[in-house]
Amino acid sequence: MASEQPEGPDGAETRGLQVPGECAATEAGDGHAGTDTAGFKKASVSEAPIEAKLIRVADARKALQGPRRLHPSSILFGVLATVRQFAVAAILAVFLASSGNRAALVAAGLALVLTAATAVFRYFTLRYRLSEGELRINEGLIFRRHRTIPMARIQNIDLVQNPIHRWFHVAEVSIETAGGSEPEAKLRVLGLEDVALLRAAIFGEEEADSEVNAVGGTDRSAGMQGGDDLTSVESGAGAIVSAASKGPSGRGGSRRGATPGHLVHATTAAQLLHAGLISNRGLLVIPVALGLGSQLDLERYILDFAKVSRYLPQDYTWQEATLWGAVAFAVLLVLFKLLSVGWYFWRFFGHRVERHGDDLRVSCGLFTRVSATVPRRRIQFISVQQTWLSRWVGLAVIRLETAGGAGASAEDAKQSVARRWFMPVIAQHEVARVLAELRPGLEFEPDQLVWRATSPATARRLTRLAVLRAIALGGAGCLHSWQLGLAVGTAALIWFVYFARRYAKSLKFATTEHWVVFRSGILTRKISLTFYDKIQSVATLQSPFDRRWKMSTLQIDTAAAGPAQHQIAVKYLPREVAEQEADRVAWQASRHQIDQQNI
Amino acid sequence: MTDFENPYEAEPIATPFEDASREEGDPSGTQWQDEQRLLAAQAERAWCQVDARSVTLGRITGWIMTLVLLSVLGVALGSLAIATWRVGWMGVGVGVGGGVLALVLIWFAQGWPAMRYRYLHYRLGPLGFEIRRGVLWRRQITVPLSRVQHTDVSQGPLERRLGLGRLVVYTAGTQFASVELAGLAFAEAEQLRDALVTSGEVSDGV
Repeated sequence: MASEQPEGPDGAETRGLQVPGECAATEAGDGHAGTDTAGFKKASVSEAPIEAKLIRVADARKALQGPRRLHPSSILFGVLATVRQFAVAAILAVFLASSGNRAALVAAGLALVLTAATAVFRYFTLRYRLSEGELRINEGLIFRRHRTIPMARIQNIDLVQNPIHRWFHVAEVSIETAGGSEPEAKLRVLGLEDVALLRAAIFGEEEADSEVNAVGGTDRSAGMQGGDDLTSVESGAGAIVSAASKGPSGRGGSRRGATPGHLVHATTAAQLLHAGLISNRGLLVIPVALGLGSQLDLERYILDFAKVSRYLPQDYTWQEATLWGAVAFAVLLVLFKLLSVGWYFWRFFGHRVERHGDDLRVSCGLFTRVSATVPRRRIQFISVQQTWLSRWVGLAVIRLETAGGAGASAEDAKQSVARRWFMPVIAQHEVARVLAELRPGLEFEPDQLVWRATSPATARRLTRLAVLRAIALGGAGCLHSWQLGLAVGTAALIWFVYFARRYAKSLKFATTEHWVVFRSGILTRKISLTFYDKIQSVATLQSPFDRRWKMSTLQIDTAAAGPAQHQIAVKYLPREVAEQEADRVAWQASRHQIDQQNI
Repeated sequence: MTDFENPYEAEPIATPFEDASREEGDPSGTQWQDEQRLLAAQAERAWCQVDARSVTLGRITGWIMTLVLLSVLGVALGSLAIATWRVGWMGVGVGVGGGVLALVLIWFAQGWPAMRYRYLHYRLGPLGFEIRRGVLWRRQITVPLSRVQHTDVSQGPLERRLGLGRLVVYTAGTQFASVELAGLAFAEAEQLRDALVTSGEVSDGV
């Protein structure tokens, strides 16, 4: 934990920005990532296990010194990526062409040729090499782009593979550094052997050292066994595409050899099925269908009642009509649920989370296999969420926010698997165990916490607001007829007041020695926690209405917020309490230093 | 194994907030004493206000904007008045409305900066860097010193004329990724900046 002193000879280095030498290695504006790599103690290779498939680090480095190219199939994948981006336009072009419009087809053909040309061009001009401790990627002929990434800065090398990638034995590689919000470099695509070389070269180390760091051993062994791990991907959906990464050094024991990773959680297909059944993902298809329909001018056909009624059966009594309506509705419901289940299987089949030292490795996906690495120290915020349905069946979702993320925007599959969908579905009683793996010493026992509620006047305030809303709705209904207004108003009154009272009771927060917990929500209950060493700032906000009721809102700000769709903003606290707690939390936050290794 | 369901069904009682013994893992209460001492030290620190010239700055920018808006308003109302000349009460209504709007704009240019100045305070203490701002929506932001990533001191042309500066404190957060304090005297802004940058190194975890 942050407040502990890291042991080992690196103790002094890991304290902060005091040591001048450390600052030079920091990326400018990299702030919270700090000099996390500069203080690393690299793994040592005092004895190299003899194994035929091993790649020696020295060989790897030498091989990577000469400029290397992408895999030839990258041309194909470049074209495919663009086609996928413009899929809708492409389909439209095909439709138009089939109705005799040649120009669209020509345009589509031209676009395809252009994309292919760009991909060919990139294949021929992109070169990457490893020299002088830096990974250099150069591409382009007229508009040149040189990207240099210091090897020491590289945190993860993550892969994405869809079935076509697997057929060609290649993968889309994204190289992440500690502080960046997106991958520093994306190489589409590299052959698996090249990836193994890259990993061995970057994460392996040659100098003899008597101490083998536990996590370093993992990196090294993962790099060394690059060939092994990657080929095992084809052997089944359950295999993890190994994502080698660099962990913090200078802490932990000095076990020799590789750290055995252990399984934190493996999501079963049954759980995915349940999750799909209780979620509403299938509804996503509605806007897509509408869009498609308008594209294809379907409304012209559907709204032409005369034509449509010819297809409908005639002479139905209203009972039969209702029955058929109900059947149609049921069919639609089943269809949506199937789509929902399908989405869950598509995204999360074979979902596994393993922990190797300080790294959590997530992998999932049915056709496109995504693997991501979440270093534990980058976890800022953990949220456990349940909808009313999932509460009923005993399931929950765990969402994370990790530093180095782009917040909620610009999320790709890999990032979202590490953040918003860290645990897409998990049994209720497993939550505490998994949370304990996310942070050393985290004991999640909500019923043991001392919860603080909102101000006693909250129920009254929210009830008044509910009454006002009901009156407004009733007034709107009165525009039609006063009976409707009355009915709507009364119904709204009961509904709003009930929910107002429930809402007032649902907001609670608690502070413990190392973390702050906040829960809210009536139907969808979210309980989130963050740690004092991850809290960036504390604020209280008082609106004019708050002032009247002597209340205040307490807001806690963390890094890269967004993916969890929940933030610690405790509303309706008594003003003195909010101010007092803000001071306390700020004090605790300043006590818990951002560790060198923590962000 | 913890039953996750419990916290919602059971109605936990809110504990009185003066109960300091709730601090877990601190049976002797020394942590709480430290905290109280620190909070008391922080409370002793006076809240500083920014430079009074910032009111002048606010008024200048306010007036510029108001004059532009007033001229636009004048043109619009004038043409409207000409159009509704015959309908007496409508012309009066337009005139009254325009007058009210003009008064609001003038107050916004002249009076609002002074109000903003009155409610803007900052403080640098052992707890961190605090800012209180806002007239209607009042906000207090506390940034612990160790969370300051880097700082900026900047000056616009008007600010340069008046010798003022704007201090922006950057954190790693999302909502308060940058906290701005405008209207400081330039020298003071730089002093504050230096204090924030160095104190990040000096402070240490326990």
